[in-house]
Amino acid sequence: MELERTSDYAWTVPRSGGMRVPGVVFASESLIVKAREDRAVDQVANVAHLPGIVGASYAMPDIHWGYGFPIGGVAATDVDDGGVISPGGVGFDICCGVRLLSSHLTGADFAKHAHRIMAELDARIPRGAGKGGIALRGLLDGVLEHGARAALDAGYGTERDLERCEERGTSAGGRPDLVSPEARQRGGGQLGSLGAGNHFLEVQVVDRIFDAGAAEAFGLRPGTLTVMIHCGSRGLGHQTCQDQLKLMGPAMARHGITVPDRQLACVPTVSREGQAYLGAMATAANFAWANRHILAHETREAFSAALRTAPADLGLGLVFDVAHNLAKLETHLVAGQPRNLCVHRKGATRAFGPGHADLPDDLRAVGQPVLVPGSMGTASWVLRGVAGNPAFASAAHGAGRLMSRSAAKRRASGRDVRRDLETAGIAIRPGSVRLLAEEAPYAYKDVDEVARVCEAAGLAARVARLRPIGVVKG
Amino acid sequence: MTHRYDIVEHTADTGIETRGNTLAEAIGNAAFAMFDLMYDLSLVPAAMPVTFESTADSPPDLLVDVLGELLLRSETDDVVFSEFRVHEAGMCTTVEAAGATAIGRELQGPPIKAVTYHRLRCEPAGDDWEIQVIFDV
Repeated sequence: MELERTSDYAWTVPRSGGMRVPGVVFASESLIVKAREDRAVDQVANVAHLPGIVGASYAMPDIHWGYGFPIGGVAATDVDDGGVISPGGVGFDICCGVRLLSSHLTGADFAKHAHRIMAELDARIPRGAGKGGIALRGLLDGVLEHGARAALDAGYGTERDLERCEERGTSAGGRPDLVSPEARQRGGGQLGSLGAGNHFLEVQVVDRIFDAGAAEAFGLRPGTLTVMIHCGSRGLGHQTCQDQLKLMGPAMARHGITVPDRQLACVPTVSREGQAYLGAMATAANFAWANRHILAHETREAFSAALRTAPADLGLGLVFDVAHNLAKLETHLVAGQPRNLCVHRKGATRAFGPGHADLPDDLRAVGQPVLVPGSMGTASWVLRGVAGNPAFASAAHGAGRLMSRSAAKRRASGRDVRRDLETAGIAIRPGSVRLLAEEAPYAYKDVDEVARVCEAAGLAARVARLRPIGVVKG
Repeated sequence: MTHRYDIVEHTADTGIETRGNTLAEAIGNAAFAMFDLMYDLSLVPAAMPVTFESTADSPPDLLVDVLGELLLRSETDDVVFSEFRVHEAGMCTTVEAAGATAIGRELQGPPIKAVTYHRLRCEPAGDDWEIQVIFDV
């Protein structure tokens, strides 16, 4: 696929064939290399075929080959002009995202009690395949209707947690009646669980501050501990997406739409089928917001038990919770005119700049926290939304994979990876040692470069770098 | 048959390619591959039998339906399936699968979340049937 460099950090895929808009990949010379090697750029071009797409088919600096959309893909369609919604632009793990807690604790506190903290987290955080969640199955109906609010009402977390969560932890327009019995059955026993694969709970230390004012507003001080939680809607979301995709194929044919990849199946957002997908998606998102909310609560309990301190004294407050697999109805300027758009972010993070009405009052002047997890051996980043973002207020969602899972496993065993992490001073509690091999730090791109390019491309600004010191993996 | 599938390299997820003398055999091999990616099936006895039926309009849709149903049953019943007998007639299948509990069993690969339509192939190839499927992990 042809790529033209149009600025220091932007590469264009020119329109060809049925592309309705060009593609734009935000990357540096080093980051574009991998995107060229696999099929990710082809996928950027495929997304540009979606009816009603406006601006361009965008890809963030952590772009890599996904299914349908590339991971790191952003596409906005004009709802009032035939714009479609595509479940492939959200993914199976609906509302997968990241939650970050800050604290009063320091790296020295962790070093002193590391064994106890990691043992408590190990025992309390459910992970791996299948059933096993912190919350009782009876909470499911309330969560599907009200998201994290239902978990709060059941005694998990705090009111402030909702204020610092995208959409205050409840997606509007949820339709629990559109979530199948199979999806409920699959996710019912998983509320309050990490899952596996690239999901994790990480204890980190604030390593470097790049923007002191924003860091202060986010509660991040040098040397203090943070906890990052990465997970999504578990089997409930996976099954909801599978159910909806099955309906979407025939519906797409009825609407006379063709796409270059079946995983991009889509229908007009305003159509009956489009509205049904939005309702089902919002309901699955409610599960994800509540899932991370409950895991954060259990994290506080784990620290409290390990340090024999009341949870309130630990200061484990929520910095923010962001989704990176979701489609949202948002208003943006297109050619100077406000338009109602359906913004798909598949492996991309919403990044509202300063002044946005949807931000919490105490963060509005600073911009939205953008959480960019790296690999378990390198670093993660906190960025902030900036004015003038060129991709419908979107930024990267992680380091981005560099290496296939098979290639990573060929390079070293899970035991080797564990040893290397421990040698580097990172405590690790894996659900499966064998799975560590696929998630080894070298399987990912350089997250520092991804954060730098986000800033250089005007997607988001760097605030703080977080270094892992304890990892709980699925 | 000892070598039942090949892995398709994919940056974020995992894919497989497999074949069979019939559509039913190829689907059975794809089902075996899906669980073998997650667990060491040589250690999973074929107990806990289940039987279900699937129908679809096309071979690729039939494949997605069968694999999706197996994933659903695996996750809700905490079972790892290790043996598969697929009977197919006119886009209608009866699937007999058997396995053992997943509880306490170590994963050898990440859990598969779903069966994708990306680069999906399920088609005749000479005298055989050929399948390619990418799983979301």
